[in-house]
Amino acid sequence: MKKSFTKTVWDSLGSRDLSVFIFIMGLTYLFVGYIFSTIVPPGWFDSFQSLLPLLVMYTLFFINLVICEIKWIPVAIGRCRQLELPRPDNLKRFGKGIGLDESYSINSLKQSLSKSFFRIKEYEVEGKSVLFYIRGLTAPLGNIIFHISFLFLLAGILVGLLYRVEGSFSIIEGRGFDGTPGFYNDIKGSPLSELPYIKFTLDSIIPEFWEGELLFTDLRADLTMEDGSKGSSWLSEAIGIDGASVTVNGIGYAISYNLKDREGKELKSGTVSMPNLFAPGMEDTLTIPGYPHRFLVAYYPDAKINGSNISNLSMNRKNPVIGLRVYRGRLPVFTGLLREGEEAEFDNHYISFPEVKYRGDFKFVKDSGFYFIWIAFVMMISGLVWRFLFCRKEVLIIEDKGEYSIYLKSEYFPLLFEKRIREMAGQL
Amino acid sequence: MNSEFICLLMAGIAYWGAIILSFREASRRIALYFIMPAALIVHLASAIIRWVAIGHPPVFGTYEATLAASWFMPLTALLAVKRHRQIELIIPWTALFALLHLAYGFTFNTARIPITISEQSIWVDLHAMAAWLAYGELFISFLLSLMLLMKTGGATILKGLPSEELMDELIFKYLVLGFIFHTLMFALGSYYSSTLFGKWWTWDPVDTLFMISWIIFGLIVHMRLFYGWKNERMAKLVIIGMITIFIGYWSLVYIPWATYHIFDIGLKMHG
Repeated sequence: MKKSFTKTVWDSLGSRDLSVFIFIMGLTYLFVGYIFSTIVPPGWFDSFQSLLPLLVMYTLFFINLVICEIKWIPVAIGRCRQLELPRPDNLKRFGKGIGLDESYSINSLKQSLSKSFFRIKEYEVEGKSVLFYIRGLTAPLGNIIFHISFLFLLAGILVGLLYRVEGSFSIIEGRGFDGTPGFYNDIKGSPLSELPYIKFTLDSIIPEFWEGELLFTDLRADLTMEDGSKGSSWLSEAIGIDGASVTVNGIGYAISYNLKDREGKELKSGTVSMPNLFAPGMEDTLTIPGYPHRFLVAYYPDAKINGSNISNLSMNRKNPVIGLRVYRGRLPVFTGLLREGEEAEFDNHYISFPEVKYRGDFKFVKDSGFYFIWIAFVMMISGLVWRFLFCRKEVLIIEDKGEYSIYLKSEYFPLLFEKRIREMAGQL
Repeated sequence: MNSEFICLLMAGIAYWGAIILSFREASRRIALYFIMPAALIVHLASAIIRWVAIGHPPVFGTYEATLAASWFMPLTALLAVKRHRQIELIIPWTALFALLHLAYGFTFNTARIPITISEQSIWVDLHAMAAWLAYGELFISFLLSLMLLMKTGGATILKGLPSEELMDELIFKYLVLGFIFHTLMFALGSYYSSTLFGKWWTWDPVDTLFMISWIIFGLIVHMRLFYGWKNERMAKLVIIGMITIFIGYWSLVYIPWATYHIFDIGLKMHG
């Protein structure tokens, strides 16, 4: 009988051949991705993957998956329900029985099978006593769970595309962050996303470095939340605020300055974030509104001064020294090293740096799609375990006038199962 | 020389002894039941000494990765042989791998370096453990595939191997186990990546290559179940999948500029 066009399309889209074709397309695509990801900047491939041919491939994959599952689910459920007790006169599905020599112990086998999560059915057929052991009756569901997990993955991606919002902001120790959009360094939001309500005070940033190396062994931000509760965020462990994960992912320095005239009257003071001051030894420029000077500042948290040379021993704030060069136009008016609080004199003015604070760079991500992704991963792993490690195995022991015949059936691993059964019977 | 390296030296000697003894059928059992477990124990002792000294499991950095690989591979092989004695011929090959891999590790920096903050998480530890378990299982599948191909090609040095049908089942069994741990590794890595970078997937070359191997192993499972691909055909695919894993592993070492799976970082900020 000739198949209708719809049926032909349906069968083609849900065919195994198409599944394999998509596997090969996917491999080719990833291989190209691998080559490009080693030679182009990281963001480049993210745009490449949204090109039309690849979107067609993703679509084809999910259509194939859904049709295969629609076809497969009733079959799998049928198999799960199928507990057909075998009859000694019809053992076609078992093939030939296994031969055990005289040394085997049927009791040992029965005991071992009972302890190995087998369901036992005991019945009699035509005077023969039959013991039927079965395990993994529902194993086909594992297959379905594994494949449906990809739909959860898709749901996670789509939810992310619609609702994900992320951004970054920086705060100086002791200051608060009130979450208004103007305070963010950047915000990237999806069409339906809403900015989370993030509000806290940054009590302190506590970095730890390993000896003299640029290697963080700890980076913690201690926070006081709006309701007065305390919390901490690490680079590798986020704090959850209004559904968003907030991590401290970098630090820098913010420097307090105090500008006075020759009578000691304070003219200007403030704390400014200096993004180029980190890592130690690098110079950043400070300008004070209303003054023509440029202050080139360098910071050495653990300084060692040797004559006119300065070096930095570690990243930890043990012996901080500030390197300062002051220019009026191109004319240098001060060059020297200052401890925190020490004053530098230039053009009848005095500048001091009472404190160098840390500036915390924070990142937040709010993506409800992650929940679907984690569910998908749990489904994937449990589906695989269910399908393969608890696959269907059957043992049929028929006793006829004191003589035992044993028949086995196992998905995937019949020889290994036979070997296991022989071990259970004490023969190996 | 400190106790960590003395233990490693002893492990290396024991692996060497296991190789020599395993190739002779008469002494294979000695290698299997005494020398290899002893090698693994002193190797583990070395890892524990290092773990205590640096405060994290020694699975980070190229040197530590070689320590972990050369411990997990023979361990999984030994456990496999304990369950399936017919494949005891994989022992000398895994011992040889362990020995060569240890030697390879010594070409990298062996200094005891604390772990960087970005890798200080139980999720990274679990991710690394799942990876080594996956590669241990897949390595057995890979070795058996090579042996199967050699056997069907008429190699005479592989006497004592089980039937091709049983080898085929074992290849599939360890492939499936490896695939499960591979998936677990992927899940744990994704979870940690979402914490660290806010993304569960990035087009990092290492991630991409491991995804390629994951798809190859998935393809092998499908080819077997859909079209009954077995024996040599499956063995060839397993070898291809494992080669992508080897390339992925060496990507960690040799293309560090392109990946955030950074193993060895330049730490010195002053002379």
